[in-house]
Amino acid sequence: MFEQMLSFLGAMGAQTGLAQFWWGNVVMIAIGIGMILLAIIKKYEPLLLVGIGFSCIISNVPGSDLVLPGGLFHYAYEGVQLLILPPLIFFGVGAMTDFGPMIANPKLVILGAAAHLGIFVALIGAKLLGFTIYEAGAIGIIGGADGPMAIFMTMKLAPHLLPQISVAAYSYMALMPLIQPPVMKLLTTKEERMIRMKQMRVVSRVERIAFPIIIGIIVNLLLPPVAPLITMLMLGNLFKEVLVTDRLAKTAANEVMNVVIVVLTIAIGSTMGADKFLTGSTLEIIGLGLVAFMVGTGSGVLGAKLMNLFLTEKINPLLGSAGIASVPIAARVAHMVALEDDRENYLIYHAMGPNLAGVFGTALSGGIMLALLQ
Amino acid sequence: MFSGIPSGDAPQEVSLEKDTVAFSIMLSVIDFFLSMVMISGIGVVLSLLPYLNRLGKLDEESMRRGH
Repeated sequence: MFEQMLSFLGAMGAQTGLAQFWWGNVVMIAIGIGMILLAIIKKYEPLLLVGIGFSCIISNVPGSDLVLPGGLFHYAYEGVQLLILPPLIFFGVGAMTDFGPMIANPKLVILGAAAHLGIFVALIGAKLLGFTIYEAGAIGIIGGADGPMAIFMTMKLAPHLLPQISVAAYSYMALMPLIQPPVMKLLTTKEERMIRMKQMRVVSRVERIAFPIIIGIIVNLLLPPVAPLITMLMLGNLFKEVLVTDRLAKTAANEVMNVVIVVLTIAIGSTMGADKFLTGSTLEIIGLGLVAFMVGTGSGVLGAKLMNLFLTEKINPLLGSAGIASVPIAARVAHMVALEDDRENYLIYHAMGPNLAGVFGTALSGGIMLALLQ
Repeated sequence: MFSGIPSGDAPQEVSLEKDTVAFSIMLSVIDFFLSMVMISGIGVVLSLLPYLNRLGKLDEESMRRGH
C-alpha cells in the first residue's frame, strides 16, 4: 500500500515541472528578479524591465505551458515574430515626439549618421568572433541604441538572438548616463563643452505637417525594408501635428503604446529560456553591445568636431553624442554633461535634433544592411 | 571575396561570399557611406521646408476647434 502510494506520488511528481528543474532555471529566475529590482530600486527602464523580468521568471518555471504553442506568451511572441509590435511602438513614439528641433537645424542631422560607427564596429567584431553575417548584422544594430529597430532587425536577420539583443539594447539604453559621459569628456576640452548654441528658429505648422508626409514618401521609396517602422513613426507624428486628430494622437501615445509595451515585454521575456540564454555567445553579445555604444558616442562627438572645422558658427561637440538615438536619453545626457561646466548652457532642445536624426540614422543603416544582405 | 567562375557561353556571374570578415568590412563601409549620403539628403529636404511657408499660414486656433 505504502509502495503504491510512493509510486503514485512519484508518477505525479514526474508530470510537474519539478522533475525538469535545473540550475539554469534558477539562474534565469534570479536574473528576472534582478531586472524587477533594478526597475524598482534604480528606476532603470521600469516600463520594460518589470514585464521582461516577470515573463523571464515564468518562462523558466518548468511545466509552464504559457510559452508553448497555444500559450498566451507564445501569442505575444507571434506579435514580434510577425513584426507587428515594433512598428506599433514607433507609432506611439511618433505621436509623442516633437520633430521641431530636427526641422529647425537641418545641418545637425548628419550627426545622426556619424554616431552610428558603433554599429559597424560591433558588426565586424561579431564576425571576427565567429557569428554568421546575419547574426553580426543583428548584433551591430544594438549600437543604434533604438529598441524597436534592434528587435525589428533581429527578427529579420537572426530571430534566435532576440532575447540577448533586446536585453543588451534596452539595458545599455538605461545605462547611457553611465556609459556616455566618460567618452564625451575624454574627446572634448572644457572650452568645447562650454560652447553655447544660438537659439533656434520657430518651426511653422505647415512645416510640421509636411515633414511626416515627405519623410513617409522618401523612406517608402528608398528604403522599403524598414519602411513599416518609419511609416508608423510618421503616421503617429502626423496625428499629433495636424491638431485635428488629437484624440488619435493621445490614444497612440498612451493606450496603444502601453498595450504594445505590455505585449512586447512579455514576448521578450518569454524567449529568455535558460537553454537559449545561458550561453557564451550571450556574454559576447553583451560585450559587443557595450563597445558599440561607446564607439557610437565617440564617433558622434568626433563627427561634431569635424563639422566645426568647416563651420563659422561652431557647434557644441557634445551634441554629436546625442546622434546615437535612444530618444530622449542621449539628448538628456548631452545636456547634463554641458551643465557640469556651465550651469546656464541649456543644450537639451538643440540635442534633440541629432537625437531624433539618430532614429533615422539607425533606420537607414538597418535598411541598407537588409538590402545588402537579402 | 569574389568567387565567381565563368562557365561556357553563360553570362559571366560573380557570386559574393557573404559570410566572411571581408564582406562584413565591405558591408560596413558601404552602409556607413550610404547612411551619410541619405541622411544628408534628408537634411537637404529639411532645409527646403521653410519655403513651404510661402504657400500660406495655418490658423492653429481654428484647427484645434475643428473636431
